[in-house]
Amino acid sequence: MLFASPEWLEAVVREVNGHADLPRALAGLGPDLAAVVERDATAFPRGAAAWGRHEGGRIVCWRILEAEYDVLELEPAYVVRAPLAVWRDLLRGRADPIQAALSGRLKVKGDLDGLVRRAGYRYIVDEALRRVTTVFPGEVSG
Amino acid sequence: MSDRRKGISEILLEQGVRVASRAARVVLEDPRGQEALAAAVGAAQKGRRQLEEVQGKVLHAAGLPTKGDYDDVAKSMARLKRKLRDLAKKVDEDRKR
Repeated sequence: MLFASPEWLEAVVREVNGHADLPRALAGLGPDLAAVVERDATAFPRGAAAWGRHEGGRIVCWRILEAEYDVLELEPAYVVRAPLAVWRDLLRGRADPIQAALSGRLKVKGDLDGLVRRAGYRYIVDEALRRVTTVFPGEVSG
Repeated sequence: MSDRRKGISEILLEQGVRVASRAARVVLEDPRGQEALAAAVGAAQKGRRQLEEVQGKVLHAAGLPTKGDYDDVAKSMARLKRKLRDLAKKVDEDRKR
């Protein structure tokens, strides 16, 4: 499935929501998050943004935003933003999200300490991503 | 680029980042380290917010716009652009009927 497509997001959310540890990971976090893939003139000219909200220990609404500026109107509790190459490294498990955030490769708006405290729950997303085939722009599906 | 072509400062910076990265990994693997790092990050963010508040007060007192004012304008513009987009879609749909 193509990275940042509505089908891909739905598949990832379905897998994440199926994890038994998700309610514990989400407890106490801000209600919503937006993830922005920054525009790249060659690799990803349109950019992409996704938004999701959790309630009762699971992700209850999510969508790919039509435009990046929609994030400004939604005012989510967290906004994480990075170029495509950084997202690819994070999603392929080649980079650590906390280290990326602390080094500034991944820009985080919102309470970063809450996310650092939940770094141990990264396996929930890793396991979900392992079950969803992700094809990045420029890669050939096979 | 090979190390021969890099300046000393670049090499030092790269090595520094590598060492800091290794240290961060060690800290994050230990729950106590994770908590300490979270507390440090929280304190740093709180400090930055307080600094921005003071900056805002000073700028307002001088009759200048603050970061918050710019954020408000950006939010209003985003709302307007979204409304325009919705309206354009509606017009297109009406035309197709």
